[in-house]
Amino acid sequence: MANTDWSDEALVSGIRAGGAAREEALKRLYLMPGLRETVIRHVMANGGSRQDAQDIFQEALVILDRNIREGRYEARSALTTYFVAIAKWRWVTVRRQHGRYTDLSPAHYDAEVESPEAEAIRTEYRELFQEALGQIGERCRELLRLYQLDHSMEEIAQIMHYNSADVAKKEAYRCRTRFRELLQNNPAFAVLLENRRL
Amino acid sequence: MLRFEQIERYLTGKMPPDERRAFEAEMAQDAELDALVRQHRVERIGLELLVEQDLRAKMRAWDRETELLQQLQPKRARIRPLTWALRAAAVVAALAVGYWLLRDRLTEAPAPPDIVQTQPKPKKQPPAWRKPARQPGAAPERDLAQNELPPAPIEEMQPDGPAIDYAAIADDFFAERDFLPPRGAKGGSKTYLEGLKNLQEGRYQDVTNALKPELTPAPTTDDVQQQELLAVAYYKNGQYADAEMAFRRIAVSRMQPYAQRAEWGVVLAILKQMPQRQSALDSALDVILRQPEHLFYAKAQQLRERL
Repeated sequence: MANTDWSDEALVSGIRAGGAAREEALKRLYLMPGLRETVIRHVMANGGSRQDAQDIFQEALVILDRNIREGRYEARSALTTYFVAIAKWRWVTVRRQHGRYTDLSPAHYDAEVESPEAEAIRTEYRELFQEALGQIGERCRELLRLYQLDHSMEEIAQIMHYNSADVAKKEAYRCRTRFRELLQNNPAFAVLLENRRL
Repeated sequence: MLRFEQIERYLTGKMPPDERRAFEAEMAQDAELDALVRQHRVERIGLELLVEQDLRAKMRAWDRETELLQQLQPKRARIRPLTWALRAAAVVAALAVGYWLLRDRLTEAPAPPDIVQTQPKPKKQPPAWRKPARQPGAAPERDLAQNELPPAPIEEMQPDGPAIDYAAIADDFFAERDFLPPRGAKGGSKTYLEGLKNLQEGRYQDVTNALKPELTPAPTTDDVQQQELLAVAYYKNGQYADAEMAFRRIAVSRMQPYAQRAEWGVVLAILKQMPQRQSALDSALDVILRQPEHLFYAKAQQLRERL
């Protein structure tokens, strides 16, 4: 049954539940009346274009989804407040990355943030990750995406038409090993592992 | 593999507190394990890209849905006055028919019996527009709504041109393995596996009779898998309009990888209904070709080139 009561709690548990519930909750947030306009107003009032604002809005949803799944949202503020705060934080970060000095409020949105090191790795090594993911094949990508979204091996076996959870588990291991080998073949990855503390 | 699972459980917070403490103590003593955990952590940051790319694709789809709805709304507004006009016309027509029937009955009224005894009038034949009663044993009428495609809208009619064998092209591009697991697969519910067996053994009607042509707004994986079976069964049975609708239901669910497979299924089902559905085919192909990461992007490109 579709959830018609979209309280913050329902949205958060939908995202945590994964699968169709996560998608429906994210869609609700994405299409929530007024939310996009708030972000657009903020970005445009602070030196951004409408396109910048649309990008920031989408990035905010990606970050919110990740933070909720990884247990970093502790419901200390309303979900929409948290969302707008993420968007504001992201806009400050983007402006700083592009060398545009900003006197916007400090670049953090809450105590519940990802470690700065993790954020830096995500940004700096994006292309390296993308290159490796591009070489592991479509089925491995899909399997690892489901794995990352915390689907059980039984669910993965069902979705990906494997004969059993054991087969899915072996495939996940094989795909992950392949991903690791591709990363390790890249000298930049060795530097990353040596120099970064997580 | 055990170490792999242990590290993943640690990183995803699935380790009980006691085990977690012991594992952290082990990490503090074992530099190799510590490095391995760090490597897993970095890999997981990389794998998040897959989730992000998928979510971005979904956001594009939601934007398209919203655009479509916005495009439809003004049309509805234009149609509304027309609907009222049609209703008014229907009332006038009903009154006219009522008057005509009443007048007919009045003119047919028998003369008073006490004046002249006349021969009874022969029974009047039903008017031509009235549906004749069906003769026992006669072949049942075809239900146009169920078995036939409606006539193509005028804007979709194609001018005469070089004949393209669309059905043959669809056959070239249709591959069961794109939608179904290999024979002997065991994953899935009992209903799904029964349907799959029937489908693989060519009993398409059994599949279409057993499964419902509907999908709830928040379907489970099993619901979507059954709908996919149904779509393929319709397709194999030559019910292309039904197949298209079943594939569209899956596509709207956005549940991957089924939704992307279904978007390809929609293309193939429309291809079988060509040449009347040119604009529908173009939009269905565009949906895939706008997403280079789409599972069927390469096939859609090949198809467009062939057409």
